[in-house]
Amino acid sequence: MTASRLAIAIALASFPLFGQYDLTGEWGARYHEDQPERIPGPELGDYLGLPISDAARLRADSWDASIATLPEWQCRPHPADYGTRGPADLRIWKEVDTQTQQVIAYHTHVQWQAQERTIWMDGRPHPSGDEPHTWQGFSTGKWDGNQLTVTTTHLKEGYIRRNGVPRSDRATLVEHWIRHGDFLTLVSMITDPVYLTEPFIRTTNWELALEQAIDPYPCEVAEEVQRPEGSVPHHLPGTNTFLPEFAKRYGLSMQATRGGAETMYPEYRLAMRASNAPEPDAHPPEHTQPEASPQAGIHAQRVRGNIFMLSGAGGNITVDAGSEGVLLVDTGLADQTEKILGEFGKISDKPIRYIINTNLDPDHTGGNEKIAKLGQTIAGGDVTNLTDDAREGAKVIAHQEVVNRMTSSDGGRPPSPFGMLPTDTYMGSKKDLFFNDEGVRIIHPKNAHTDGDSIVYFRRSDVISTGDIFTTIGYPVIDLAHGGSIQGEIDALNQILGQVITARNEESGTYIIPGHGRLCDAADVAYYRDMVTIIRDRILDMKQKGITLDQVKAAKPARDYDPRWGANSGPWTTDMFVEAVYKSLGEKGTH
Amino acid sequence: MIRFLAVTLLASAPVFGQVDFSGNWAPLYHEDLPDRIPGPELGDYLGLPLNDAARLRADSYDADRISVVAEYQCRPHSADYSMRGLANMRVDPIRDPVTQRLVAFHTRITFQEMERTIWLDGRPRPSEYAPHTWQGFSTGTWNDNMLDIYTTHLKESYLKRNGVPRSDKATFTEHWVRHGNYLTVATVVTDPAFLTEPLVRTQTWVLDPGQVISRDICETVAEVPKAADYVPNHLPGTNPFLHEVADWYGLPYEATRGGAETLYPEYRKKMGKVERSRDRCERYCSCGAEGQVCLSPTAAPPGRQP
Repeated sequence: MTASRLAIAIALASFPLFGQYDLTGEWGARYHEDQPERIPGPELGDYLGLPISDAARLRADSWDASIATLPEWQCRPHPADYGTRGPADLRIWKEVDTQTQQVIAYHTHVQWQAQERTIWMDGRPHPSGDEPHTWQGFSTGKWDGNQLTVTTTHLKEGYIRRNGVPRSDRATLVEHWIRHGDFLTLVSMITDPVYLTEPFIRTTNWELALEQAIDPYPCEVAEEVQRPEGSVPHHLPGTNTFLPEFAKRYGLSMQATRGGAETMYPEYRLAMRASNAPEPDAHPPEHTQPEASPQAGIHAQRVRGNIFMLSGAGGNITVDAGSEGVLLVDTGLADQTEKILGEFGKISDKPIRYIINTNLDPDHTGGNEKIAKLGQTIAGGDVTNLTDDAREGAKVIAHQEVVNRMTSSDGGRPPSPFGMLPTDTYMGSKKDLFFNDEGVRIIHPKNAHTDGDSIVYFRRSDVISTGDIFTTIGYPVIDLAHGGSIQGEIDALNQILGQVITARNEESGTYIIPGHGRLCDAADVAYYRDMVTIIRDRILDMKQKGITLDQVKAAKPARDYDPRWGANSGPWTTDMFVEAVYKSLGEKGTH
Repeated sequence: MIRFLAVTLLASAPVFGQVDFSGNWAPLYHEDLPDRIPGPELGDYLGLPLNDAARLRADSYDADRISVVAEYQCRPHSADYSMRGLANMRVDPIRDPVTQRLVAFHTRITFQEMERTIWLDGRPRPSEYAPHTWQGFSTGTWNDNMLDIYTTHLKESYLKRNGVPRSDKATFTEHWVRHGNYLTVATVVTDPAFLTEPLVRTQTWVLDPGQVISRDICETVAEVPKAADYVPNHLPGTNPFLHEVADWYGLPYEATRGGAETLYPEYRKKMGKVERSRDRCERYCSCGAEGQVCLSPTAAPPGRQP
């Protein structure tokens, strides 16, 4: 009987499980394929073979390698789609469910910047669009025969090549991992509705390396270049003198080096020889992989510790729920108040003590009246027992300019009802609270989105709520009628970046709750800062050259960012943004 | 750019004295297959450096014990024997996330889901009062590309599955050697209670990326109704099965009784007289050769009842 059991067990254990193949081990990168591009690095202006759009081409033309010396980018790792291309010695190990012995996940560690990635094998769904995007994204895998097919979403913005060719945060990645003996081949396909007109396909190879040991990759930020505060290295359109270098060095036509889907195919050589190469197709494709949608309706997600982010009720609402009660940053739209209160009930049953308004907009202050009435101020000292209503309602805090603006009709809005007004204002640059066992610093940046903005920094939880200074849904709203300015906006973004400390790989660490859109970290703010600064510089340059507003609009100075951030309709169009920047730069184009 | 190149060059160089053992490994049974898979013959102690105490323990052993004694039904092999049995093995590295140094290798083996940790971080051995376990406490050090492992704190177990004991005072040393996609483990067991010399054995695996180790769940049931104080055993001098192995294979009975001298080639010259010779081999004759299985011997030993 024992022998029979043994025999059966052997038979079971000896057969491979259909459709799975173990990828674990130490893998040494093989660079024979695309070596010049991967190790010394791509030539500036070499976009040959990349199915890029016009917007991507302008982003790449504007790229200045000096940008890698900005503090926010010095320790940035390659994203998941590029990590396998760079110095890419690889370790793969797996996580096994101790009960079922099924593989839950593969983990990968790539040498450069110690990039670590998880490929979930347990069938879990991809997160909603409200979840943070990361360098390595969110990956799920399934077996297709002996080939592991991996789909990755939730990527931060990255690059297709290390010469500035961008890949947006709306891109998705599909990979096929194939092990053939001691060799591993990865086929990766990137789809990017913002910057690619066709999927971009590459292959990368490794060989099993038994004696490989991958060392740690510590990275610390240092001031590498002294430059004026707030400056972002880039080339203004038409001024990048390095672009022809690649064509000259290799005897190629300049047009070929500009890339485009046509340049991927062998037929393009014939057209090149005939000197009638077609113009690159610059039109982005239909979205083949829809971006992860935000969750429908109002919903809360825990950010860290006591801090939650409530989305879907107008502007994002930050909830600080602890033993002393609840502090809210903003109150959403007025007509969403009942639903908002329903979500609060799921987070805390403690009274609402404080509301902080980050600006005067109705999508941030709309619920003030009803929500504040349900709260209870912490009162004591001389106030105790002197007045019955001292504890009634939550305290509503905002910068003094918010009240000034809400009580006047300037800026094209009627005065707000009395019940919506903040009850407690501050002047100057900051106000501090200590609530729920942590310091809460309210910071006032001058003349950014408006002249009454507040940024709220939860110091113990390490979370910053930015209000409309930062969003992930569009260009920043520069509300000139209420004191906003492009320079104040850029200063405010840099002020936020000045507060953050990231964890490893310029990721995580301080979390950022934007005025609208998904949960973020410092790298998302840095990308946004770069974009706004570069667009400011372009419009400033044109204005200084005497180019009129209409001419600037016609030149589309943000056309490389428009596919991701622009809008042709709605409350804040690209033209409105360009106009606001142009006008806020002053008569002589100074800032 | 220079930074990229430098990093690449650094990463390509192997770290001296370490080799990666992680992966799925399929055991190769060509070595000692009759002993390992159908299992050892009763009374076969040939080649074991055992002492008289061990010999009596083995003679007294009754295989019924693993059915009757509930505590033994789900007992796994111990660390030294686990490499011999149904030994499909997965090896996972455990690393310090900060230093990327190997902290340990973790092994999992099919039969009874044996899991073991081999510490590589230089941690000290527990005190002698710490619990003893089936897998013991193992620490490893690199000796060039060979991993030397030393294991203590073992529970009592067996050297062969025919009752030859190995005490809880035993320790063992292993040498793990990877050569390409093959893994060889040499095991050296030292036991002051039951061995007069160290027992040295080797086992081999081949890398098997398609292998998946499934669960091996064991539940205890009353297989044979017996009194609670009954432990199956043979009283001294009453075990009728001890001569079988000599009879099956045409060996001198004395040789099958083992002892350190039976380990060495010189023993053949002074081996005793064969009691019952066989004309030809009929049992496990080509066991394991060229993939043949060896599970159903049919012939009976000459002159004795099976």
